[in-house]
Amino acid sequence: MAFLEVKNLKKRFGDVSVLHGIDFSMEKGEVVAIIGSSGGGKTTFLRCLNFLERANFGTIDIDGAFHFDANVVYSNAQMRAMRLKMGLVFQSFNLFPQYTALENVYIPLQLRTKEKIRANVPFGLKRRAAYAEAQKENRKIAENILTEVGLAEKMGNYPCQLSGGQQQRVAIARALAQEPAILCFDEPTSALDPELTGEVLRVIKELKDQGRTMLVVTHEMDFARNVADRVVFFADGMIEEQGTPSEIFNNPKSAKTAAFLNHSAVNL
Amino acid sequence: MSLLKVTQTLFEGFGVTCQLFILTLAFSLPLGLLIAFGSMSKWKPFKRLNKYESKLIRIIANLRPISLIFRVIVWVIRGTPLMLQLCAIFYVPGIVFDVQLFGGANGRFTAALVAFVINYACYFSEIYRGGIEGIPRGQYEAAQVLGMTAGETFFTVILMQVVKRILAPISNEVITLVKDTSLARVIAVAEIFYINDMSFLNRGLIWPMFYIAVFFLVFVGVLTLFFGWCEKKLDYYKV
Ligand SMILES: Nc1ncnc2c1ncn2[C@@H]1O[C@H](COP(=O)(O)OP(=O)(O)O)[C@@H](O)[C@H]1O
Ligand SMILES: [Mg+2]
Repeated sequence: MAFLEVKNLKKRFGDVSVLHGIDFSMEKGEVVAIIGSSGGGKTTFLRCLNFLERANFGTIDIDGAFHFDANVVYSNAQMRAMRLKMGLVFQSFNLFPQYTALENVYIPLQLRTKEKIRANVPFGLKRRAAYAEAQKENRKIAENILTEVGLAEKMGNYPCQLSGGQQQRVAIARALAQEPAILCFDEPTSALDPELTGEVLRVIKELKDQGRTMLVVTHEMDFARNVADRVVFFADGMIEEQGTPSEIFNNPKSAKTAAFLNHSAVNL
Repeated sequence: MSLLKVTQTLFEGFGVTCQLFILTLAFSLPLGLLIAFGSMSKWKPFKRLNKYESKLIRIIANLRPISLIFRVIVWVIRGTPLMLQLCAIFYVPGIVFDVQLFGGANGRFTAALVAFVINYACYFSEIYRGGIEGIPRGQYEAAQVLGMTAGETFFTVILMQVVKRILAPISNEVITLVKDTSLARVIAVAEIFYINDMSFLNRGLIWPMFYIAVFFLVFVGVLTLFFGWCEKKLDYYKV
């Protein structure tokens, strides 16, 4: 079984069907770009993979360890465990404004460590000590990741003191800190000024070089062409076509894909 | 009548005013949060009827009874004069139901406190609700994908953002409360105006009534400084 295996995933909003049965799989270390015109269901697909939306039908298998079936009712704890397997970087960053860059990264991490400690260490001084120990470690982890995304100098800044590109890099660091099996990006540069998209795309490229498994919804055709291992074209809630970047960009088989690529080329 | 004597006498009443103010806040701030959660309740007991076509049945299916009850309460309390509520709470139990709920030495004060707490809790609840509902969905979703529980999300992510958003409207309401305490006069609570009426006004002494303004101005001045300081403290982030 593939690292990520999605079978016949369907999603409706009320009476409107948005995903009509997506079959999709990814291998470990693969970087997949999803392209397609807006309203095609790309965001909804990512949200279903991260369990922000509950699919109405189909299954999702992650890393051979987690199996989600839309017909099965899961406990909140099970849903949280599955969510942690997936990471998501939003178009609008969604950093927590009252925390510094460093706190944004280590506080969510610390909450998860605390949960583990609560399960294993009895209430009392020992637990307090374990929390303090974990806090030190988590800060260290957060510092390292922020350094990795080029924000060593900005750890103490609040989101309102950072540029859009820096905020998005903090958001990436925050998602990475949880060590997700697959990191998803929903148009990570669409909310940025053109001169700031480069720094974010560069970070994603570096993550690829480290062998991270990533699924990136993007309008940056150059990025899809040059960085992705595979490009998936979404149209009207279906995967219309997929293949290597050169197959999709140079030799699209479907007329819809060709029309979309022509159209984006004109707009560039 | 010397200024010192008048000041001393008025201070007695002002003590009661302050007690009413502090106790009202102590009870209505948390109670308001409960009412806010009640009015935001999403519980739909008849949700399953949603599959039927009929308009009426659909309305019933979408009914949120807890939310409805709380919103009606808030509407009634905010829609009627506080003076009326004071009288209702003090007189109605005795006259209509023949129970002496507010007898004894402190009865009047207790009745006023109850009326103020209910009234202000309703106003606070609307401020809380606005603050909570104004938090962008993305904040909840970011917390969710980071594996946070509902409780963790509220306490680590949402709460401080709400506090920042509601600080200004809450401070307005608190300052209004300082002056609203004088309404307790209508059920003869011994607050500052009542004391003034009994000690000075009924003897034809007018000026102490205007002197009372100084007490309120000082009190509100201190509160304004306090809220300004709070705002400064929360200035380091934007929501
Ligand atoms: N919460 C929602 N409720 C109703 N319709 C939705 C909701 N989210 C998305 N949709 C609809 O689903 C379709 C796909 O949207 P989306 O997944 O955002 O597409 P994309 O990201 O490819 O632009 C759109 O027609 C959109 O209006
Ligand atoms: Mg989208």
